[in-house]
Amino acid sequence: MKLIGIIIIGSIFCLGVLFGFFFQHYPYIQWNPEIKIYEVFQVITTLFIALAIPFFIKKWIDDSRVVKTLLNKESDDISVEAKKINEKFISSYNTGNITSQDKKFINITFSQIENLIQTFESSIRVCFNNRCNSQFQDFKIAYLEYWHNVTSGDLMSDSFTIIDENYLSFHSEEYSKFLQALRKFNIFLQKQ
Amino acid sequence: MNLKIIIMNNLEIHVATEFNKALGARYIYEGQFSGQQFLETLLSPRFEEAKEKKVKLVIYLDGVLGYPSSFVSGSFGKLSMSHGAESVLATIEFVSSNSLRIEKIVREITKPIKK
Repeated sequence: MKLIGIIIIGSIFCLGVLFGFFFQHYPYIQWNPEIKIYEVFQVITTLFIALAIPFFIKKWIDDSRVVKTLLNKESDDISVEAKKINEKFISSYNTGNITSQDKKFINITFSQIENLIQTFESSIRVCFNNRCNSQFQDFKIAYLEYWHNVTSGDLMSDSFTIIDENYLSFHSEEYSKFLQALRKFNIFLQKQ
Repeated sequence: MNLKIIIMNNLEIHVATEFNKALGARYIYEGQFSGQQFLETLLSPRFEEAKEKKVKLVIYLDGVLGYPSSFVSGSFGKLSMSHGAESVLATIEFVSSNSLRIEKIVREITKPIKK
């Protein structure tokens, strides 16, 4: 890489020398003394900007868009898994009872969300280094609170067999808080 | 002079194979494979043994269908309340492919919920 850099710088220098030589000795090109040096600089800058926009800036924008789309997809996966838990509570409310299989499903889904959060965190680290650490930590705390509030009460007890309106509305509130935290983090990511 | 070198091996708990894959609630009266059952049959005795032998207690968390907060609170939370968070964290080492799984248990140890 260092060698390539030296070659590029050397080539630019040689091109500059050649251009100067050509400019000085080519009979059809003559410096118009009315032209100010800053005007020449202005033209060169305009040309550079015109070339840089399609070649570099557009590429940076496209790259950043691809990264954000991928991260968005990972965030959607988390939201889809969380939705499964919400749907399980709604269906248990509709059937009138919650079985031990349903509880197992809820625990497995929470575990799956944790795996997705870990992958999401790794991707964010790769894309943004440690720039999003504090915001991601807030999101993680929101997840831990959601998990804690849902599974810390009587849910796992054998005698807990009915999902009533109170529990459904309690879960719905916790679920919304978690989704809000996820959306808040997504908005932050989009601004990066 | 004969020198005897005794290598003290760390103690281990494999939650999925030694206890169960599907974990239950907080207390024994709430159903099978509760946090209290885990604490009384596995966690507490091995923890005491590890402290006595001055070795680590390595707990393998993977392979379980998920850790309900009530189970974590009834086992690790209670252990922390009786021995102190510092002593528990100095003795126990967690192994999991997911750091969040470890984080939530450590959180319960550092801030155990009285219930």
